[in-house]
Amino acid sequence: MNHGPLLFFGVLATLAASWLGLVAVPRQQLGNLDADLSTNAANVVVTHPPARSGEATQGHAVYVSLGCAACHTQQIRPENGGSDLARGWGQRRSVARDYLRDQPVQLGSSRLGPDLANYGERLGTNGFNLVRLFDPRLVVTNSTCEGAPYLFEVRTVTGEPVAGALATGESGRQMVPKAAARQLAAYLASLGSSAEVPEAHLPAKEEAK
Amino acid sequence: MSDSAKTSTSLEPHEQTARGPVLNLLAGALVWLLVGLALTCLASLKLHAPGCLPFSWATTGRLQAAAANVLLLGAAAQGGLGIALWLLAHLGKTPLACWGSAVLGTAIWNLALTAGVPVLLLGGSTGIPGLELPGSLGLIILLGYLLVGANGVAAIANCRRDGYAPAQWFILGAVLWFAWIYSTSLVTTVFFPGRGVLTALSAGWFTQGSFWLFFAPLALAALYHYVPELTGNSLRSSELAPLAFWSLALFGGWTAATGIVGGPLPAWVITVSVAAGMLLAIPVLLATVNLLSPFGLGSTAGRFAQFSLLAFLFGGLGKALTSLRCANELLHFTRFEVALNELLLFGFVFGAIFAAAYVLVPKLVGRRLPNGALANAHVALSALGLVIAVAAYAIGGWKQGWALNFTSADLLSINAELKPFLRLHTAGLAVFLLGQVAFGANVVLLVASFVLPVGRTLVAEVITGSAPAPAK
Repeated sequence: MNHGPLLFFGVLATLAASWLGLVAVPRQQLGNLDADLSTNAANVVVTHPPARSGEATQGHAVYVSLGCAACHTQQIRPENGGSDLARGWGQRRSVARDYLRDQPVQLGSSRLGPDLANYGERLGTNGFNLVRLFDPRLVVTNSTCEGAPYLFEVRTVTGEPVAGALATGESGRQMVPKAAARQLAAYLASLGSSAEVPEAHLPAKEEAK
Repeated sequence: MSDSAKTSTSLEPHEQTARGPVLNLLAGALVWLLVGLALTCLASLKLHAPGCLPFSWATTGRLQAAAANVLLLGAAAQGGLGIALWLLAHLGKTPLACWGSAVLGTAIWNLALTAGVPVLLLGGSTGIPGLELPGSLGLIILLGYLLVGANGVAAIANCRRDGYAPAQWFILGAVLWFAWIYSTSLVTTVFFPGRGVLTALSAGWFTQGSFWLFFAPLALAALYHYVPELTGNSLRSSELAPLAFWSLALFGGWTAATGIVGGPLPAWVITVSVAAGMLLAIPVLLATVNLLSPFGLGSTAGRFAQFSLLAFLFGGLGKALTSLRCANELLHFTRFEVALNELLLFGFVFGAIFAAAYVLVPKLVGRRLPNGALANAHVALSALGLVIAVAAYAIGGWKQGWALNFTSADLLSINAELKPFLRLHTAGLAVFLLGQVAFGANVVLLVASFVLPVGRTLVAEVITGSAPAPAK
C-alpha cells in the first residue's frame, strides 16, 4: 500500500467499474424503451403508458414539489416480494416501461401512506375528492396524511358555486381550489399502469395462457 | 504573550497551514448539524402530528429533503473533510498546497447550501432522492468541494513520509470518489436524466455510493488514526486494514439498487446490488475487528470513538442483512430502513467526527474546550437520544413491516399501532439535538474565551485611554 500511483488507479478503477455496471449499462439497456400499443384489463387496445393531460403533467410537478413521495410509493413489487398485489394496490408488478412519462420518477421509499401506482384506477369515475387535499381527516377520520389548506383560497362567490369549491359554512363564501390543487387532483386521477406488457402479465391473461 | 499564541507554536510549521481551513470547515459543519437536526426533528414530528405546521414550506417531504441535504452535504461532508485535511497535513508532514482555495471553497459551498435550504422549503426540489438541490446550486457546491478536495489530493501527492498510513488511503479514496460520484450523478440525474426509472437507479448509485465511498471512508480515516492514538496501541492487525479498504472500494459502488429491491428495474441490477450489499459486511467486520476494544472510555473522544464503532458494526451489518431479499420483503418501505440510516449517519459518521474533533480542536486553538460538564452532556445525550430514536424506529418498523406484508390489517390501523413509536422517535431525536446544543454551547464558550479578553482590553483602552495589561 506504499505505491501512490497504484493506489490512485485502484481507487479510480473500482469506481469506474461500478459506474459502467450500474449507470452506463442500464442506460444502454433501458434507454430506448418507448410507449407502445397494449391491451388493458378490459381487452381494449391502448397506448401504454398512456399520455397525460397537460393538467396532470403539471400535477406531477406539484406532487414532486410538495414531496408527497416522503410517504407514498409508486411501485408494485412482484408476488413473491411483499403483499403489494394482495393488498390490491395493483394487478401486476410494476416494470420500467410504466414510468416513461414520469420525469423525474417518484418511486418513493416509505409506506406511511398507501402505494399510489394505480391510485387513479382505484378512484373510479368519481375522480379525486378535493376535500382530501384540504384536510384528509374530514374524509377519513384517523388519516395520518397532512392536509394542504394552502392549495385553497376563500373567495366570496355570487351566483353559481365554483366547480370543485368547498363550502365554508358562511353563505356566499367558498373554499376555492387553486390551480395547483386541481392539477394535483388530475395527476392523482391519472395514475394507473394496469395494461398488459410483455414483461409482466395481467392475472386474467396469465390464466388464459 | 497570550495563551493562544504560546500554544499554537506547538503546531509544526506545515500543520499551521491546515489550521484556518480545518477550523473553517468544522465550524460550518457544526452550524449545519444544528440546522439539519432541527429540520429532522420537525419532519419527524409531522409524521405523528400531521395537523401541526399546516404550511406549504413545512410539508414532511420538504423538511426531510432540506434536512438530508444539510446533514449530508453540510455537516457530514464538511466535518469529515475538515478532519481529513488535518490528517493529511499531519501524517504527510506537508503543508496544504493552497489553503486559501480551501477557505474560498468552503465559503462558496456554504453560500450555495444557505441558498439551498429556502429553495427546498419553498418547493424548488428536483424530486430526485438524495439530489434534491437544483442543478445550479449543485454545481456551485461541487466547485466548492473540488477547491477543498484538491488540497487533499495535493497533500497526498506531496506526502513526505515513507509509505501511506491507512487514514491516508481512505481519505484519498473518499476525496476522488466523491468528486466523480457527485459530478457524474448531477449529469445523469439532473442535467441529462435518463428516462423513467433510470433516474432513480442513478440517484441510488449516488446515495449508496456517497455513503459507502465518501462518508464511511472519511469516518473510517478518523477512526483508523485516532483509535490507536487514544488507546496508545498500534492497530490490532496491520494486514486487515488494506483488506478493509479494498473490500470497501470493490463493493461500495455496486449497491445502487439496494434501496429499490423488488422495484421496476432489470432483475440483474437488483441481484448485483443485493450481492454487493451483503459483501459490505466484510469491510464492516474487518474495520471493527481491528479497532473495537474496551478502550479510552475515560475521555470524551474515546467514548465517541467507541460509540461510532458500535454504530458502524450494528448499522453496517444491519444494512448488509436487510439487503437480503427475504429481509427486504419484510422491512422495505418501513421505518426500519430509516433507523439504520440514522444509526450510520448520526452514530457512526458524526461519532467519528466528534471523536476526532475533541482531540483536534484543542490542539488547533491551543485551549481545551472550557466546560467538562457540557462535554459529558454531549456524549450522554447523543448516545441516549440516538438509542431511543433508532430503537423506536427499528422496533416500530419491524412491526409495521410484519403487519403490512403478513397480515391483512388495513393501513390506518397499522399507522395507529406505529404512532407511539413515531412519538418516541421524535423524543429521541430531540434529546440527540439537545446533546449537540450542549456541544455548540461549549464551542461558544471557547470562542468567548478568545474574544472576551480582547474585547475587554479594547473597551478598557477606550475608557481609560491607556493600554492595560492583557487579561489572562
